[in-house]
Amino acid sequence: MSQKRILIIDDDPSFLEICSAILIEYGYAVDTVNNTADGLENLVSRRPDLIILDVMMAAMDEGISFATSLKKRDDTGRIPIMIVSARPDTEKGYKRTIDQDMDWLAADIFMEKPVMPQDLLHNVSLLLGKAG
Amino acid sequence: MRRFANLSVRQKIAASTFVVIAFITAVSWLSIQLIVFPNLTRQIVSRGLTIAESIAARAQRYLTANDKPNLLDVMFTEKWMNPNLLYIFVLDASHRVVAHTFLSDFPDALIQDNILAPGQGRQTRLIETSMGSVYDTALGLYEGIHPIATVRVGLSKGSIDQVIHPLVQILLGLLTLVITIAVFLSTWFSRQITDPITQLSNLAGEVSRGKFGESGNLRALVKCWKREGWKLSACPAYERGAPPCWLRDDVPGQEGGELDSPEERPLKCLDCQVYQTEAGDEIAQLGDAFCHMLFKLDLYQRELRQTNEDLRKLNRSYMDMLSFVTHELKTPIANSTMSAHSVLQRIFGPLTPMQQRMVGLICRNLDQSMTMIRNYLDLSRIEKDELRFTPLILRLGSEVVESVLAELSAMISAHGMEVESTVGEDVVLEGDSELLRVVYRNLVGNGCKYGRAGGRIRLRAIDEGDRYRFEVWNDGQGVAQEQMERLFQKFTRIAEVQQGANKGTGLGLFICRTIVNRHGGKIWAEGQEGEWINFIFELPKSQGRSLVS
Repeated sequence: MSQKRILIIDDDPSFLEICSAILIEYGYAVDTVNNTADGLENLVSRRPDLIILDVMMAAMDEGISFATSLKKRDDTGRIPIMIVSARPDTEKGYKRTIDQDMDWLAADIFMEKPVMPQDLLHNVSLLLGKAG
Repeated sequence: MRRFANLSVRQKIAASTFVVIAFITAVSWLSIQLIVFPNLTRQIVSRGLTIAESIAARAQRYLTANDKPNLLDVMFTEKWMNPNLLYIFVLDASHRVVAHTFLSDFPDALIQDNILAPGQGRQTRLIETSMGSVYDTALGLYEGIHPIATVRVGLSKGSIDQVIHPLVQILLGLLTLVITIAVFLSTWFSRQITDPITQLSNLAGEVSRGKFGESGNLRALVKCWKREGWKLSACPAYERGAPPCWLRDDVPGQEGGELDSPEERPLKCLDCQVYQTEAGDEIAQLGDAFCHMLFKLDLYQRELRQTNEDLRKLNRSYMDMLSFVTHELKTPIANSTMSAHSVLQRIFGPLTPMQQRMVGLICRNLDQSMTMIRNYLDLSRIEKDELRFTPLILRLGSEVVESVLAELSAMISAHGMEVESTVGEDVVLEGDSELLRVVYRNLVGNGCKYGRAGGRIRLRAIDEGDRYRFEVWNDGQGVAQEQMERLFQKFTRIAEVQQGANKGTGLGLFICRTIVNRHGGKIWAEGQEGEWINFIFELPKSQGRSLVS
C-alpha cells in the first residue's frame, strides 16, 4: 500500500508544524502550504489523497470557498477535505450552521480547534479509508 | 363635608362665595327688618307727637281764652304741611270734641280708640279706622293733676309704608346687583385659579404618560402655557405637534435645549414670535417653576440618554476587545493543547512517569483555558447581541448529547465519572444544535468539575407534551438552596462549590440560561446541599413552525 499523501492548508505555521509532525509520525506523507493559491498548485503537482483545510485565512471564508471550488472540479472533486477551524461554526461570520455547511460541501469532516491528536488520526484514517 | 371635599376647586370657590353672599344677604335683611324699619316707623310716629305738642299749647290757650280760630288755624296748617297726617282733634276733659280737622262729620267711634288712662301723659297706638291703619297719638293736657284736654293726632300707616316700600325696593335692587357682580367676580376669580392649574395638571399628566420630549409636543405645550396663559389650544405649534420651536437651528441665538436661564435669554418661538418669562402672581410663578422643571428634566433626560449611549459604546468597545483578545488567545492555546495532548498520548515516544504527570498537568490547564476562552467568546457574543440562533429540527441524543459526551470523554474519565444518558433518538425538537451543545458542554463539564470524583452524572429527557424537560443530575456537594438562583448570574462563583475544584469563569451557567431563554425555555437548579444537584431546563418542541420529523 502506497504512502498516503496529505496536504495541509493553514496560515498558522504552528498548526502546520504540529499537525504534520503527528501525521508524519503515523506514516503519512505531508505537504504544508499557508495559502490556497499554493495549495492549488500543490494539488496539481502532488495529487494528495486528503486535504486538511483551515476556514479563515486571508479572507473570512477562504477555506470554504476553496473547498467548494475543488468539489466542483472533475480532477479534485473526489479528494476528501477535512475542514479545521479555530472558530466554532456559530462565529464563522456567515449564516450557515455546521450541518448546512456539511450538506452543502457534500463533504467530509469539520473539526474545531483544538484538534485532539487521536481525533485527527481517527478522522484522517476514516476519510482515507472511504476515499481509498 | 366629604361631599364638599370631593368638589372641584372651581365648585368649591363658587359654593363658598354663594354661601358668603347668602349669609350677608340674610344679615342685611334681618338688620333692615329689625333696626331700620322700626326706627323709621318710630321717627314718623314721634313726628305725630311733635305735632301734638305744638297743638297742645294752642289748645290750652283756647280752653282758657277761648281762642278757637287760632287753634283751628294751626291745626289745619299742620295738616296741610304733613300729607300723611290724617286728622287732628282736641277733646275736653269730658271727652267731647272741641276742635277737629275733619271736613265732614267727625267719626265719633274714633274717640274710644285711644283713651288715656287717668294721669297718663301720652300714648301712641296703631288703630284700624275707616281711613285704614292709623298711628294715633294721644297727648293729655293737665292743670295740676286734673286733666283738662286731650290732643289726638292720626298719622296714616299707609303713607309710612309708601316711604318704606321704595326703600325696600331700592335695597333689594342693590342687593341683587351686588350678588350678580359677586357671582361674576367669583366665577372669574375661580377661573383665574383653576384654569391654569388644570392646564398644569394636564402638562403633568402628559409627562407622567411618558410623552415628555416626544416630538416636542410638550415643549410646545409649555411654551403655550407661558404665552397664552391657559389657552393652550390656541398655539399652532401645539396643534401641529411641531418640534420644539426653540430647539430649531433657524432660531438665532438658540442652541438645543440650553434653557438654564430663560429669564436671561428670552426664547423666541417661530410660531409665536414672542416668548418671555413673566412671573406674575403665585400661579404664574408655579407655572414658571413647573416649566423650568420640565426644561431641566428634559435636559437631564437628554444628558442621561447621551451618557447611556456613551456607556453603550464603551461597553461595546470593551466587548470587542474582549472578543478580540480571547480570539487571539484561542489560536496559540489551541495549538499548545494539540501538541501537549500529542506528547501525552506518546505519539512522539514514551514518557517517564514524571513527564507523563507534568504533561498531563499542562493538558488540564490548557483545557481549562480553552473552556474559559469559549465562555468569554460566548459572553461577548451575548453582550453584543450577536448570538446567532438558527433553529433546525434536530435529534438531541445523537446530534448534541453524544457529541458533547465524546468531546468531554477525556475529562469524564479523568474525573472517574460515570455518565448515564437516557436521552434517546426519539427526542426531536427544533433548536440550535451548536448552542445546545454549549449548554450540555457546560452542564456536563460542571458535573465533572464540581461533582463527587468517581460519582455519577445522569442525563434525562422527559416528554411533557409541547415541550421537553431535560435534566443533568450529579451527586456531590451541590449548592445551598438560597444560592441556586445566583448560580445563573454572570460572574457568579459560589465559594462552597469552588472549594478544591478548578476555578471556572463564572459564565457557564449564565451562558446556558441565555441560550435556553433564546429557545423560549427556562433553566433552574434543584438539589440537596452536600448530596446532589440537578440542573433542569425546559425547551419547547417547536420554535413556532410546524415540526416535521
